[in-house]
Amino acid sequence: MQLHSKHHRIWAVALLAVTAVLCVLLAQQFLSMHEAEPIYPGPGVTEERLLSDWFPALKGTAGDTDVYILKGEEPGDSMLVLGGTHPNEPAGQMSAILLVENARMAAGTLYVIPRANHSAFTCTDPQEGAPMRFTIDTPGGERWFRFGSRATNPVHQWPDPEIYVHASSGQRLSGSETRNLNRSYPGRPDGTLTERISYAVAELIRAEGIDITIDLHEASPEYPTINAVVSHEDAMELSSWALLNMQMEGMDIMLEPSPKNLHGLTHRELGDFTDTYAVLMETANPSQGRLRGKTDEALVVEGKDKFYVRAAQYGRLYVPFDEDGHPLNERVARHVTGILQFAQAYTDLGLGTVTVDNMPSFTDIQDNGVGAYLNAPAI
Amino acid sequence: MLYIYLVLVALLIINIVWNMLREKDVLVQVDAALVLVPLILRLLLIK
Repeated sequence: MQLHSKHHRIWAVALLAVTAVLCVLLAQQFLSMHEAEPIYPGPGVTEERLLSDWFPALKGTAGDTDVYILKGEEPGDSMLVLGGTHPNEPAGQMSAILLVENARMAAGTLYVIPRANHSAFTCTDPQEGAPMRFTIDTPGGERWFRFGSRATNPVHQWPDPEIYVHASSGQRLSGSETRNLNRSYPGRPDGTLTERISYAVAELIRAEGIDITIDLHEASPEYPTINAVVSHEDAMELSSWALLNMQMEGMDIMLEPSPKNLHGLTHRELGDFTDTYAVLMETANPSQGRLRGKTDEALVVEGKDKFYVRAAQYGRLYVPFDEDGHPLNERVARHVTGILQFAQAYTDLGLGTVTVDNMPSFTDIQDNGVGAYLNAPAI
Repeated sequence: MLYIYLVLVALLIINIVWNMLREKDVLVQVDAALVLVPLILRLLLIK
């Protein structure tokens, strides 16, 4: 079909004007993703720094991010918690924020990075229809949190190669994995933005002598590594002890050894290239699965999906899935309990002392919700 | 590498606008306008 006009130049100018208006409107929406959710540190936070303090080349880039330090009254050892490695896995970020706003260290030092891949919080994954934010009710009012992408924003690191070759191992993965923070460890000081972020995290661990590093993740219900702790071989005894205590609290969780031939992940590379006990935790997040229905804020927060209920009936999932789904409250409760049990196991095994106080228990978070333990938003 | 890609995107935008002004079929002009949106957002490193 053709629609010829004598005034085709006027049409062209008019359409260019419409294009300009569309670009402005869309740009406003995309740029709004660069606003980070406010975090209100609790009294346990003794210092706030930037990741670039440990690797100055990151300063001023989209990869720089806040590091919250909670130093205990008594001396002890140190633990690093990474949330937001994958910003489409919100239980990690929310658990880290819960630590920042509640935890008090009786002994030792806790380092918390709620937005490990800061760049990946500034976009969503293409063609996923994901929400740009989600909200949680707190006693002091509603608070919003960013829902981002699995990988570094392509605006900050572009173009992707056809094949991503992991620098220290030579492992070959698909090109888009070049922007996946959890395929880039131990990082390179002169590498891509993603590699520089992971290098900065490794530098923090080396400089501060971090004893335990816990990387918080989520996985699709149809993914086999789920409701699990993945542990570097050096941390196996610690993980086993912590896992037993988690199971005694009623959590169904399994332990998996970090595969030696899967490179770029925290539980492999941070264990190999630093002296930290490196572990990773996974919960069940239906909002990132392939079988999900409508992807909206409700799915992120409530974790209910009728298609996953049906998939569970067919026996296609690696976690139970009924009408109650897997709400964010449950997933955060699992992560927080895991963190506390790792600290406890470290002390129980006589490896040192890390004592985290003032955190809600598994049942507290499940029964009262995450919002009950978040500080009131500033007016 | 990034700057080479951005130059390519800029050239593509110029080419599309140029053809849009010469094109007599309004529907093709509308198509061109739609194609311009993601290219402009990428050139400005917004999306």
